Amino acid sequence: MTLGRRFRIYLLEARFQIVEALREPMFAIPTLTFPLIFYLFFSVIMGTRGVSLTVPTYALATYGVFGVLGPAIFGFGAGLANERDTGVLLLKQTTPMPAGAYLFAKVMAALIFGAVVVAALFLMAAHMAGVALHRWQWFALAGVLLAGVIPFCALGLAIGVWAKGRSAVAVVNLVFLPMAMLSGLWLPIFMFPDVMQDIALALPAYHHAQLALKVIAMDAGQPVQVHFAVLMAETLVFLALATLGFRRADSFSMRRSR
Amino acid sequence: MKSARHLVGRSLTWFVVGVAVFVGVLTTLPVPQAAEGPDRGVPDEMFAIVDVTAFDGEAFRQGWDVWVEDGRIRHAGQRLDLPDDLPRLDGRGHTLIPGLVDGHVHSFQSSLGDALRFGVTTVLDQSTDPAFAAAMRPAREEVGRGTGADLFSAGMTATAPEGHGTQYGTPVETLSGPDEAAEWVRARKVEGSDWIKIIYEDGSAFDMEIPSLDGETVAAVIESAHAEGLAAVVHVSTLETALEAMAFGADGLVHVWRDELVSEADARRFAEADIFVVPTLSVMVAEDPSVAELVSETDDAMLSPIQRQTLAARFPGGLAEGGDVAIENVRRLRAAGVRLVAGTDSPNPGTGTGISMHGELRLLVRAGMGNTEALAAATSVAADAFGVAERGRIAEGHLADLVLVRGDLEEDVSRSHDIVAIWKDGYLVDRAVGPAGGGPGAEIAPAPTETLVADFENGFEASFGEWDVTTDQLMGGSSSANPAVRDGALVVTGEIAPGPAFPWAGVIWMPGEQPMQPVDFSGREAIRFRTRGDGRQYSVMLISSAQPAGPPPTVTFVASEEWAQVEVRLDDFPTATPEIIAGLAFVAEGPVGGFAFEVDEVEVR
Amino acid sequence: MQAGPQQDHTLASLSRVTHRYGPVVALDGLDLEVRRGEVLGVLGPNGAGKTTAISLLLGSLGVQEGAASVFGCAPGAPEVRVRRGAMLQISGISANLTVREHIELFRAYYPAPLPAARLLAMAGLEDLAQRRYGKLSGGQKQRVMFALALAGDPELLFLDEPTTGLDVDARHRLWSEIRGLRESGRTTVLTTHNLDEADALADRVVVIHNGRRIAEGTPAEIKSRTAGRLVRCVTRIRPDEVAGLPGVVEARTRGRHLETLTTQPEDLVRELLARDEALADLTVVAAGLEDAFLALTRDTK
Repeated sequence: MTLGRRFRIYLLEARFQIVEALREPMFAIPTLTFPLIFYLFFSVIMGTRGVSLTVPTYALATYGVFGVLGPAIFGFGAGLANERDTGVLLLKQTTPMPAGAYLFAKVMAALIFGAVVVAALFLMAAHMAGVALHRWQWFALAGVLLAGVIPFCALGLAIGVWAKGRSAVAVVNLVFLPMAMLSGLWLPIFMFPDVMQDIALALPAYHHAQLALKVIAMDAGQPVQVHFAVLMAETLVFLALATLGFRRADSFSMRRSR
Repeated sequence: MKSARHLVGRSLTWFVVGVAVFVGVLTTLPVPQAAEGPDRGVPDEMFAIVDVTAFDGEAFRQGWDVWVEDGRIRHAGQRLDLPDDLPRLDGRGHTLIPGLVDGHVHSFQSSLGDALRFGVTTVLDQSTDPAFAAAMRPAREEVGRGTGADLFSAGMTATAPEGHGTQYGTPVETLSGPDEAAEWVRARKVEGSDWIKIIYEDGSAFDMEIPSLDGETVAAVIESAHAEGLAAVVHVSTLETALEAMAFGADGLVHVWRDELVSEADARRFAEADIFVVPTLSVMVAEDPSVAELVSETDDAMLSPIQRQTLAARFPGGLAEGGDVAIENVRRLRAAGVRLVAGTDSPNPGTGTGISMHGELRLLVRAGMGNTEALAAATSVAADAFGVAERGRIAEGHLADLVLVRGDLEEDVSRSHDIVAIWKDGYLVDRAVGPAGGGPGAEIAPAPTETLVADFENGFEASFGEWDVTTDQLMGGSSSANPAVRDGALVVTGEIAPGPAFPWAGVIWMPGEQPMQPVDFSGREAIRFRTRGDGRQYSVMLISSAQPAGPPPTVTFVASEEWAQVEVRLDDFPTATPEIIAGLAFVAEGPVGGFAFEVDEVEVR
Repeated sequence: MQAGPQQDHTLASLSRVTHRYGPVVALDGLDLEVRRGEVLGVLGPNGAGKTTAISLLLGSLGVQEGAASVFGCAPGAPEVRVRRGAMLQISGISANLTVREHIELFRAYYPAPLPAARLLAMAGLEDLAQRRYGKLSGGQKQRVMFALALAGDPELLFLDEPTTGLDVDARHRLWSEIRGLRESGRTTVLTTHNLDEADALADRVVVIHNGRRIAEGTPAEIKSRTAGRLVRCVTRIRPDEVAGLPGVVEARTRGRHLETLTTQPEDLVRELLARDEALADLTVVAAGLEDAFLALTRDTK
């Protein structure tokens, strides 16, 4: 396959993945607006006469993680499971489409939805909650937040491979909502009992949020390397689980489709 | 194909536009208007802190709103009618206190920054170079963004020849008898002293013999000060001298004593005389665990090199004994109703400018004060004792010198160092340590390994850093110096002209790559050089900081007719940081007249 | 031992392929040959193994036993993928993309795709290009699938039960489109459980039952061999008495009726009436597909 055609496939696959997601209100509306509405409520409205001086800034990082997590885990988890279920994936596998293009498209869709949420959150924080950060912090925070699509897509991929079609949405929600809460994405982690804080140590969203908070010097003080190491390890575990699931699904796919 | 190409092109265009918009958003987002530091996102200049527990200088007030505008407190009280567009900070869970007033410090440029970074917005200096105090005076009159605490100072202190206070390198005009008192006080008033500080110290409390003013002279200086409309405070270290000073009519004592316990009757006499005492427990109670604890709770990065060094330093011979006596004396004075003012005597060994004020609060509580009372001693009582207006209170029209602290200080004043934000004149203070110990300037560079600075074989040049001329023309004087290299040695000729109180002229070697960039010579012990000259006394001055404040620490030498080697140990310089060298000057000082000396083979080893 | 060197005109083949899903044997030593230019009908009842065979030829299943080859390569090889297209039994593609968008995306996968306008025309979708897939009728959806299968201008086309679930009109419409393929010189493999569909479209038919090839021939041959009739009547004659008669494939009692499957119904009726004068309620109907396959099974014994 020529490089030019490969590039074109990757690009169009991504384009149509995004167009498709944008036209799906069940996906686009929650992933694009929930982080903004939550942030508006918890930080802008409560924060201006709020709990403490730093709520809108703190929450910007954690709701940013929430905003990146949503499209990644739903796009991959529910999207992949659905496409496996309907047979779209099977059909595309018979074409010369490289498998990489499919994964690339999903990651790009997660990245672009994440970027839209992040940009909107930043504008809201800056102009409605009075958050001001150093220029490097704005860029670094955006960068750290968007880099979160990698572990979260890996997690979504693992779910999408293992969960069956319609149940995938339920499974994703069962992972997504408790993880968001326990990782301190809605309310600061230090407000929780110690047991819950210990649970958070196992969650990728917690470590990603801590990295984001590090940029604005509001993290819990664990070393950057620890967060990196946990995220990398968990990403690898998710990818390994996904690979295992794909192998298993291959040998059973006919029975499922018949 | 055509439409696919078209789609590819359109997708790429969208992507590029999207990235551009994203980056565009990031580049237009607001950045903090205030200084750098951990308190980003906190507005300044015009804002209100709402629903905060406020200590107004005298008492705690729940649920106050404090409205700051144009550097001052516009309104303070419960449920103010604030304009809708006024930026506001929610103060719940926090305590807002007036900027702290340290009743006993010794100042130099970077110390003012260090004080401010720890919430001490006003320092009451009990001896410094009058020229420095004069230079700092305009800053305190100006309402605007500053980098240091406001300085009020006694300026030069009254002491005997060779007496306490002459050993620090600052210029001191000594007094020999009561008849000199009136003229001396007038000179201080002209220099701009805000009050008069008198040393009444014979060293007996420390098993030393130090020349001291006699009682008659002390009394005369106090009387003259009052005649000039200035307050007079006295340095004492014994109960006996304290009682004498009271009898002479002193307005305040700037130390408590540790030689013996004050009786209840004597304590009552102090109270009746309405004399105030600045106990300076921070130096009196050496190596107190609460201070060590305070330092351990403070992020090391918050401390400037000078703060770290002075906190770690100890008085030679130690001051371990007598701390309990000092505390008990404070307890008794307090019980008798004597006005007590918080002060640290920083940067003496064991103290750190600014940070020690929080230790002093803890020590005052240990001596029996309540939290409210200790905070008052550190704010309104201090300001009132020294007649400093517009400071030490949260009140309408006062300067917006404010410190926001996490938690409830009424419950526990030992939390005072847990600072969220500091405002000076309504401007948010950058709490980060600046380079070179608090002030703006260059970073401290490591020293090269070589020890030879210059042998003048190749002219007026140094093996690293560079040489230059330095004279009091910097301070408005007119002394001059002309360097020349002759026969492989540096010849400096010039003239000391009458003018400033503190004239000089000579040459300076600056070791850094940038002029006046401090260089760390840790591990080196001495400066060695060869010299000869006209037999006059010369000085080696060591400038540690990029912002020299007041006269630098100095060691003198005599340049006689024959070449001689001079070795000056770095320890001999009366400064906390002799190994940090921004400049090393070889100069003539007073008396007025011409001079000529030679220098060669300069080494830092 | 049929897996000799493939002849030039063989585009794809399965040789002695056995495939199991756990304990279930889906294909049992199946041989299948696809010849250049033909429309091959793979006929069999549901569960016969047609889809498994197609999946092996598409490379979406790995060969367990035996050999599979397409264009002389492994079925999943990239050089194979660009030369073939497939229409699978899937429940749908993204409802939110338009017909044209789906077509453009699939066209991008191939090095020399057919023009979008031509694909739309071939599938009769010209008026529906801007409509979202989710808003199409079942027949229209299948035509989109058909267009996608053709997107890469394939030499070889796999159509797996293309008309399942369509009404008669939609089915005939798709048939006419598939017929057009033969004229363009393409090779087509079509699976179906509908004999009429195979008859209408295929040049050659392979019948699979229980994972085995049970018959092969032109549609006419297959049809004639499956032209059995079911003779039902109420009679005292027992099934074993008629089982040995010429043309009888199977005889059984169902309720009061004797049901006899035969390829020579006239002879049987004559014989029955001769043996039982009291015979009543006689009907002769065309055999169902199951019975037709049953007949073929007997034939091959």
